Formats: sequence, structure tokens, C-alpha cells
Amino acid sequence: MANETKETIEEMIDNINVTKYIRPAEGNLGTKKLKKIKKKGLRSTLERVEKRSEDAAKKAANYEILLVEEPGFLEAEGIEKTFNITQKKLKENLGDEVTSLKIFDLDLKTFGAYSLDYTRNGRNMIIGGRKGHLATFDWQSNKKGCEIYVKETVRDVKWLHNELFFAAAQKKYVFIYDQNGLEIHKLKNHIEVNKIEFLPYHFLLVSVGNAGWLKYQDTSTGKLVTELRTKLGQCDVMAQNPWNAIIHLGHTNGTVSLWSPNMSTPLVKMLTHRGPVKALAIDHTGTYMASAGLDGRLKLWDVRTYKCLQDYYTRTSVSSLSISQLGLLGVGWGPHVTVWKDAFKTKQKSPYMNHLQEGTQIQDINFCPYEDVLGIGHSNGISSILIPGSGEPNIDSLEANPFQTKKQRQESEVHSLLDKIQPEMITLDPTFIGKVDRASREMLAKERKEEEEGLKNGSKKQESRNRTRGKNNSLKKYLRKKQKNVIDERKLKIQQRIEKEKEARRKKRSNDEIDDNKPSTALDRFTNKNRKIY
Amino acid sequence: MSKNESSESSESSDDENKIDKLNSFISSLDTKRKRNNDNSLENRKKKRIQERTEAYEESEYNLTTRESGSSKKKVDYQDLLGAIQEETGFSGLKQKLASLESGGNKGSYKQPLPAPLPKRIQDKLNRQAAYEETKKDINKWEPIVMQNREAEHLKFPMNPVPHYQPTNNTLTGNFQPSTNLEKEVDTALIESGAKEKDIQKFEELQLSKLSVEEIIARQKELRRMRELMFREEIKAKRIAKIKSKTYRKIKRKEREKNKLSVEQFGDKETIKEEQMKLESARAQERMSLRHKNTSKWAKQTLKYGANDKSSQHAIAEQLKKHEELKRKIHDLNSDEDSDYESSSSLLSNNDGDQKEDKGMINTVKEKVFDELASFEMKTREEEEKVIPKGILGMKFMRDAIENERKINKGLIDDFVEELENENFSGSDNDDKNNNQEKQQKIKNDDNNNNNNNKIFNGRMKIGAKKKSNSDNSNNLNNLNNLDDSDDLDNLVIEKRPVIEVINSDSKKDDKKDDKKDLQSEQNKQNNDESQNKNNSNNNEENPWLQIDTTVTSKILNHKNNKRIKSSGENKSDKLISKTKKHQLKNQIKEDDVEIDVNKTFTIITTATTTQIVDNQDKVKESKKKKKKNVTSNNNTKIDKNLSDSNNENDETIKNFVHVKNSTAFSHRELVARAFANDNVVDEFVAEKQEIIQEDEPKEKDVTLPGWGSWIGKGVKQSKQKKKVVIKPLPGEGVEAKKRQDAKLDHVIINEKRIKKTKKYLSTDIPHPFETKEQYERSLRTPIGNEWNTREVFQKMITPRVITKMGCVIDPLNVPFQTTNDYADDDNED
Repeated sequence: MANETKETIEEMIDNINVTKYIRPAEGNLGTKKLKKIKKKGLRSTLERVEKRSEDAAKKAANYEILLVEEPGFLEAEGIEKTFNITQKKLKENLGDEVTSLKIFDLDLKTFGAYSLDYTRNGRNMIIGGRKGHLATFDWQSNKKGCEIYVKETVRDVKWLHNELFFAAAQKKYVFIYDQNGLEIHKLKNHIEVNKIEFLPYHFLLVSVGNAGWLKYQDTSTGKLVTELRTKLGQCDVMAQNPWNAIIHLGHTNGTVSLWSPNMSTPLVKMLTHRGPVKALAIDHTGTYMASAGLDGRLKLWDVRTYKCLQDYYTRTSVSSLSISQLGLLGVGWGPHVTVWKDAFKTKQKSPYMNHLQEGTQIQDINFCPYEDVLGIGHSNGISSILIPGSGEPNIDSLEANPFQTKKQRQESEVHSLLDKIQPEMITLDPTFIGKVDRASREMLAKERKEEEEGLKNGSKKQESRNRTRGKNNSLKKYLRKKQKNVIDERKLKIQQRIEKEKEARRKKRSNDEIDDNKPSTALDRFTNKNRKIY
Repeated sequence: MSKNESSESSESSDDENKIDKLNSFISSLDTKRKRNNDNSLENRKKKRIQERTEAYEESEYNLTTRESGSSKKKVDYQDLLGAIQEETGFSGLKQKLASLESGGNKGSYKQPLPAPLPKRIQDKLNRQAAYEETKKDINKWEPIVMQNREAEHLKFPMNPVPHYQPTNNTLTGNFQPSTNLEKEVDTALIESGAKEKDIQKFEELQLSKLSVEEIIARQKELRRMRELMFREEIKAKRIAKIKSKTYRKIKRKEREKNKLSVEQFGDKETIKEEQMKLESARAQERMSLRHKNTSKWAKQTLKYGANDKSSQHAIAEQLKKHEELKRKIHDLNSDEDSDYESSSSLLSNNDGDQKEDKGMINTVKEKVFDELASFEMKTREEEEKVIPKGILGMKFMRDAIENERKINKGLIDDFVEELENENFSGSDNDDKNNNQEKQQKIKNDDNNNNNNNKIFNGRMKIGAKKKSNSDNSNNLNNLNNLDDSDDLDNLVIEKRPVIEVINSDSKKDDKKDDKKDLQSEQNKQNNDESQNKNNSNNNEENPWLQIDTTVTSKILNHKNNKRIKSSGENKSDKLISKTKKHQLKNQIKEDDVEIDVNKTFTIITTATTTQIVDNQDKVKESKKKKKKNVTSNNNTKIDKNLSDSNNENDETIKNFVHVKNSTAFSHRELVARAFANDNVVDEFVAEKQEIIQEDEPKEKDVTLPGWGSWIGKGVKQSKQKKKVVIKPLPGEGVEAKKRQDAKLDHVIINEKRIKKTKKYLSTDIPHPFETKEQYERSLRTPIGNEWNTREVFQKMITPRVITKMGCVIDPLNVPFQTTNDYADDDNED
């Protein structure tokens, strides 16, 4: 009996694990339904497909054995509370040197509020001081990459696909630098940018700024993919949904809009706050969004249903939000950083951890991937604090490898470029590819017809294009390009010259005619008509 | 009739004369005519030759005998050969004719052979037949073809010949020397007798040299051993099966006796010691009541320490003890019980004899000293061993522990002194009392020790310990009760007794009598308090009640602090002040309740909620402080630091509060609204409405104005005039109710089609699938190795047909046996 129950329990656990890996699909195809299908071939293919997906899920569940590391959270004993444990205490009680080195402060008062970003493997860090200080470093081994002073405002910094390139939103334009701090590109199309984001799978640099234009630039080809007008004015809150590469923008009228480069209007518009939206964060599974506004609210949303899950009150307005890989929510407000655990699932009564950065204003917070570390950019520099249980303990080296060698980095760069996803594939549901178009037959037919007509018209236009070769001299071109109603000296001169030329041509033609009138002689063949001076 | 006769006559005519022959011939002629007449009247009629009215043009082409009216009349072969019928001697010819006539062996001739079918049809028939045949032939391939078709992967060659891998043995076994060298070596081996076979033979011979006796003896020995082992095993099994408790008990006693007897070899003292040890262990168990789950400590740990491993462990231990004790009680015949009886009797005997009594006291003292020594050893060891981690590793905690330890040490020293002095004290009764008291104290000390031990196990709860002030006073009372009645069973000792109890007890032994009354009063109060506390604990869910508790506890703590400070004062004064404070506290409590009732003052209430946490923290802090005061005044610095850090935390908590109730923060919302753009929501709603209307399917009016209607003065537009309307296509536009955001007021979802993604969608459901669901289910599992395990990935990307390079792929073999049967079955069907 005991054995049996044990087995059943194990089975149950297995099932739980397997269900985690089964991919969702519309409708269900049980054995009963399969049996009802009369076409033998179809039935067998469906059976095969079902079996294959089931098999894949089971195997994936079995591979959980390989996930050796388990996340560890701070646990309080008795009436001790985790939020009372300061970084100082934590550092004192840490056993190993290495982890205690992860708690550090950089005192950089002269260059103002800092924004920061980690690479996708969490190895490198870039910081950008508002007053023009840019620095990169391998923060775990304390190796400085580059440090430059751009002598103008730096509003945001972001790593591109790896630690070789980073982008900085400066006073007027966005610049791209390489690992040595050498300016590679000046993106003139991105003007007065407040926030930048990088979509790693699409190689898209996204920016939004004072004018409220959302611009997508392909960093692999250099093409400006789209420019979208938000029509909602200045914007300085942006976050990407890592699951579907949708860009979320927070606006001053309290709305959060979801954008894809394929639509000129937002895909979704949510009224989240009554005051301006101050900060946004989305978790890496793409299910939850946290938003904070000037109305003193911190709201947690389910992005799939667009429903508000939790509603918290904040005394002072939140300046920055970040969600860690394991779902801890970091909130930066005033000089404080508060971290909430399981905030999306249940209403929390007390935070998980607290941190006070005295005498500063928090500018930007970012959880470091694959590390239990939270990076804080504030008005007095940069701080790094330990938040146990924030980072994913098991790394997937195919996805992001913190222990990457140079060779591996090169390999992964090539691979990621080969696997680059086109910007057209960015939709709310990224699994749409290959599915059946849900539009009605009539609509499809109509669209096809329109397309064909468009093609026809386009081709006609191309045919009718009148290309008069050789009659296009530089003077005429000049006149054509100039505005018609502006008449200046140069224009007049050119007009005169053109007139002269015309006259000369006319004369020449008349001369020729005169010549033609003469009876031709045998010696005519020796005359050079072109040498005639007119 | 006449025919029969004639036939008879014809048969018999062979033997008769020629005259008869002639006669018969004549008669036969007659009968023939007669028979023709008999056959049918019609025939007779037909035979009547009609007159020819028309003359034929006689020619060689007009030979047919035609009779007018009957086209049937043709020359029959009977007409030609009819005469032969009667003739004899034509039997051979007749037979042939008969066979011809019937078209076979028997039966009558009906119709002539049909004309051969047209070639086209004939060929078709042939083809059909051939098809059937070939179908039968081909059917035998069906199963294997089906099998291959349904297979996920096909690997060619289909049935590869397994590669032969020769083993070492086969190689050596089949070895034949071929080259010259090999042959030489072989011969050399044979000559020296070093061949494998020879060596084997030699070894066998060597083995056989052992004498028969020796072998037999060895075998016997082995057999005996096996037998013995088997018997022992069976016996053990049988014994293990016995369920009788008495049997087990007897066994156990036997075992113990054996043990004692073994020790008896040493000396009697050791036995006594052993008994004493047992006795004291039992007493300790009973005193400490570790087995009971009703103590406050147990309750607290059960409540709060559910996640703490060490506390779980402690509780488990306790439960175990309890279980043991219960078993003892129920099992009347148990040896422990009898032991107890014997020991009690022993004690009574000792009571009777004073000398013995003194000796007993001495032993107890000795024991106490031993225990103290062992405890000291332990603590020293622990000091050396354990460098506590976590919070306990922090400096202030370590200091606190150190201080506590010092106090304990001091107490122990005092106690030892007292004990030593007691040797010179007066009456026996007092002695006895004192003794019991001392024992009690020892217990207390022990508990303290336990406490310390617990600290090292990481289960220290500074706050919780000090919270139980009422418990302490209870404890005190109990101690006093103890003085009145020497009943050991009534004694209740707290799990975590607090130092002050001992302090007061040890210092103010003489004043006990004076205080009794007051203390009983206080006891009552304390009971009330504890009741209140319990109530509040029960209603912990209610945040308002929580405030009460915290406030009270705060006050309590405050009170405690004061009490400790004024430890030098007269206790009676202290108690009076206590009662006063208690009253005050009650008043405060009532005030608090009033605030609760008035829920409209949300601001205040929320403020208080924020303070709850503060208060709790402060309570904790004050407790810590209190402790420090008790122990030493040196740690004030640390206290300061702590309080600073605590203030930080307080602040953070104060500033970050979650919204509990939407109505509770209505004022906040109002404020927020005042600062926010007022028309944000209205704008949003208006925008949504606009978009909804824009997206709705609309009819398009394309009537040409003025077309088909009269114009001029006085012409009225007819209402019946048809409008030309283009109706929206199905699927064009979205109705307001069917929108994705129909039920979400705060969301606008774009319903427009994204044209750029069209190229990634399929317009129709691909071939084998019938519904969208079926098709999309087939897509759901991604194939890449980023999403799959290696095994699954490999399986998914294997091509359907795999051919080995450079391999000849033979055509399918005919699977004879099974497939033939299969084909036959099919045909039968």
C-alpha cells in the first residue's frame, strides 16, 4: 500500500511537472475525439503530432534534474523580519568573500543621477551619469571597460546585443559606442530621446523622446524600420515585454500604450493611472506588468487580460521599477528601494527587503540577470545590493552565458544574427506564425483584389515614366530643384544662359538648313560640321 | 402404342425370316406416317400442302422450299436424316448425331453455339480477369507497404546484415598457424607442452591429487555450517513473529538483569548509582513536563515556529516523550512503573530513617554538583565549538548571550554556596523544604541551560521570551504555592523561565510571606491580562484589535522596564504601582476601542496601522533594552545603534503601505484626483467611444444624388425611392459587443488587421487537416533545439527516409507466408 501511494504521489509530481511543459493550444483533442475522425491518414497524423508534443513535454520535465541550483531566499527566524536585515548586516553574515564583494557603492557625485543597464548575461554593466559620464565595466571582476565624458546630457544608456556595443541617449541624438568608447554611429533620426530599449532577438533599437515619436532602428542593417507618432506628447517611460517584444510606453495622461512596429496606432491602450505614469516594468514571462504613477499608486497588471491584480499606495511617487527573473518586484522611491516578494500572486503586507540610500534620489534600478543583485543608479552614483533569490540560479548557456569566452561570444553573435527575427513578426501573440488567417473569406478576397490593383497601377506608372535621356543638363536640373517662386540672381543668370544655349541651338539648326539648301558637292565630305563656330 | 409394337417387332425381326422383314418394313412405313400424324394436329394441318397461288420464277437461286405464311419452314437435318432413324446399321452415325444434337453428353439440343463476341468486348473481359489475378498477386504486398507508409522514419537498407564481431575466444579457438613463424612457434609450444590444452590438463591433475578423505571432511564441515545457519535463521524468524507483550517484557527484563549482573562484578555502588540515575531521569522528566504539549512554550512554537526546523525538532522530541509517558501510564504492568513503585517505597523507607535521609540528601547534592559540573563543561565546550552564524553571530547578540551566561554562572555559584552552607543548617523539615526548593532551582537553572543550548541551536527568541511577563509572574506564584504545599505534581515550571524570577526568588526568600497576598492579587490580574492577550491573539486578523495588543504590550513592557529598574525597591510598592498601571492600561485599551468603532477617521486609523508595525518594532526594541538593563549597562552604545537602525526601518515601513480597502483610502483618492488631470478618465472614455464607432460595421450609401428622380419646382422626393447601399462584408468591422475590450472599461484594444503580418499566416487550412484547431495543434510544439531536449530535437528533425551512403538498396522481398494468407482472406471477403 505504502509503495503504491508513494508511486502515485510521484506520478502526480511528474504530471505537475509535465503540465508545466505542455504547450497551450486551442481546443482539445482527446483520444475520444481522435477516434471520431474518420479519415485514417488524418487521424494517424494527428495522433503522431499529439504523441510528439506529449513526448517533448515529458522529456523536458525529465530534464529538470539538470537544474541543480535552487533559488534561496532570506528567511527570518521567529519574529525577525527579512525587511529589517540591512545590507550591512547581510554583508557581515555572509560566509563567502565573493558574494560580499557584490555589495558595493560607487561614489560619483559630480556627474549626477545615473542610469544603468546590465548585459543579458549579467556580466557587464554600463552606467550613464546625467551630466555626461559614460562607463562600462565587468562588474563581477571589477574590470573597467571604457570611460568617456561626452560633455552633454546623457538621459539613458543601454547595451546592444552584447558587451561590445552600447547606445546612449544624449542631449540631442542617440549615439552608439563600441567597447572602447569610440563613437560608431550618431543616429540623427532619434532626436531628443528620453528612453531607449533594445530588442535583442530583433536587433532593434527603440527610442522615444520629447516629441513623442517612437522609432525603431535595426542595428544589424542600420535601417530605420518605423517611426510611429504616439500623439500623446512627451514620453519618458518605456519598457519592453521580453516575451513578445512589444514596447510599453507610459504617458502623461495616465495611459500605458502597447506598440508594435507594424501598426501606426497602439495595439492596446490602458488607462492605468490618474496622474502621469512614472515607471513601468514587465516580467520576463510577459504575464505581469507593474506600473507606478504620480497619483501615488503602484499597480500590478496581468498583461494577458489587462486586468489589475493588485493596487498599492505609495507615499512618494515611484521613480523606477524593475522585476527580477524570479519575480521579485523592486521599487525605487525617493532614497529608498523596496523589494517585494510574490507581489503578483497575493497582496503583500510587508516588503521582502528594504534599502535606504541616504541623501540621494533613486534614478534607475535594475535587477542583474543570473545574480542575486540589484543595481541602483542614484544621484550620488551607483550602488549594488544583494537581494537573495532574485536571479535565476540555473543558466542556459545557449541563451545567455555569464561565463562566456571570447570565442563563445563571437559564435553566439553570429548565431543570433542568423536567427534574427524580422520586425514584422512583432505582435501581441508571437506564436501566430503559420496559423490560419482568421479574417473572413470575403475580406481576404477583397484584400487580394486591392493588392492586385495596386500592383497593376504600380507597374503602369513605372512604364509610363518618361525618361528623356540626354536632355537633362545641370542648369535645368538646378532650376527644377529650386523653388519656383524664389527668384534670385543666380537663377536669373542660369535662365539667361539657358536662353542663350537655346538660341544657339536654334541658329545651328537654321544654319544646317541653309547648308542643306545648297547643292551638295563632292568636297562636302571633307568638311567638319561640328567645327563650325556659331 | 403402335409405335411400341413396331419397335418390338423390329427388335425381334433379326431372327425372323425375310418375309417378316418385308412385312415389318411395310408396317414401319405405315407407322411413320401415323406417327407424323400423331405428333400434332397443327403439323398435320401444315402438312396439308396448300395450293400454290403464285408461281415462282424458277432459278438456281430460288431453291428454298418456301411455303406461304410460314417462314419457319426450313430443311431440317431431321428431314435429311430422319430416314436413318429407322434404319439399322447406322448406330455409330446415330450416336454421333445424338451427341451433336444435345450439345454435350446428355440433354437435348437447344441452341447452336453463339457467335464469338466482338474483339473489343472479349479483350475487356480478358483484362478484367487478368486484373483480378494480378490484384490477388499484388495484395500480398499490401501489409508491408502500409507498414512502410505509416512508419515515421525509413532507414535503408531495411534489414542490414548484422556486422560480425569476432570475440577473443573464437579467434583463439579457430587459430591455425599459417605463416612460417607461427608454425615454428606452434611446434615449439607443443614440444615444451606449454599449449593451452596441456596446461588445463595439468591443473586438473593437480586438483585430483587431494585425498578423498580430505575432500569429504571439507564437504562435511561446509554442510554442518550451512545447517546451523539455517536453523538459527528459522529460530530467529519464529521469535520475531511472537506478538506477546509479556514475552517481550520478560525478555527485556532479562536483558537488563544481565546487564546489571555484568555491572555487579564491579561493586554495589555502581548499581546504586545506576538506579539513582534512572530515578533522577524520571523525576527530571516529570518536572520539566517536556512531554506535555499544553505549555505556553509549546503553544507558541506550534504557532510561530512552524517553519523553523529546530523548533519543529524540539516539538517532535517533546511529543515523543509524551507518548512514552502515556504508554507507561496505560501499561500498568510495565517495568518502569514497578521501578517507580520500588523507588517510592525506597523513598518512604528513607523518610522513616533520618540517617538514610541524610545520605539521600547527600547523594542528591552530589548529583547536583555533578550536573553543574557537566553543565559548565558543556557551556565551555559550546563556547569553544560554536561560532554562531546569522543574527546570533552579530555582536550585540553575542554580548547578550555572554551576559546571560554570566548571570547564570553567578546564580550557580550562589546556589553552590548555599548548598554547602546547608550542611550546617537546622531542622530536618526545613532542610527538606529547602532541598526541594533547591531542586526546583536546579531545574530552573537547567532550563536556563537548556535555553542557552537552544540559543546555540538557533532558536532564540528574545522578544517572545520577554513577552511572557505574565508567565513569569505565574511562575513566581507557583513557586510560592510550592512553599505551602509540598506537592510536586502541582509544580509548573515554565519552559523558558526568565532571569528576574530567579533573582527575586533568591533574593527575597524571607519576604515571601508578606507578599503572598499581594502576589495572589497580581496573579489574578495577570490572568486577566493573559486572557486579554489570548483574545487579541484570536482576533489577530482584525487589524484594529491588533493595535490594542501592541499598545498594551508596549505599556506592559514599559512597566516591566520600570520594575526592573526599581528592583531594589520594596516589592509590595512595586506591585501596587503595577496594579495602578494596569488600570491605566485598561483605560487606554478602552480608548483604543473607541477609535476602532469610529471608522470614519480613516486617516487616523491608517496612521495607527502604520504605527502598529512601529510599535511592534519598538516593543521588540524595548525588550532588548530591558534585557540589557538586567544584564549590564555597558551595552548602551549598541542599543543606540540598534535603535537608529530600527528607526530607519520604521520610517520605511511608514512610508510604504499597501491599500487594504478601497474605501479606506477614499480621501487619498480624492487628493490624487485633485492633483491629477481631472478629465483623464473622461477623455479616455470619449476616445474609446470614438474608436468603437469607427470600427463598427457600416453601410455605405452610394446612391447618386438626383439620379432617377424628377427635378423642378414642387417636386417632392418620394420616400419609396430605393437607396443604393453597399453592405459591409462579413467580418468587416467589429460590433461594440464583440470587441475584445467590451468588458474592460480602462482598455482600448486595437481591432484593426495588421497587414504586415499577413505574409506569415496561411489563408487556408493545409491538406490533411480539417479544422483550424487540428492544424494549429500540429504547430504548437516548436522544433528548434532551444525549446526541446536534444533527444526530442534529433527525433523531430530526422528525415523520413534515411539512406546509407554507398549502400545498395535492394527492392522489397516478397513476404511469402503471411501475405498469401492475407490475400486469400481478402478474396473470401
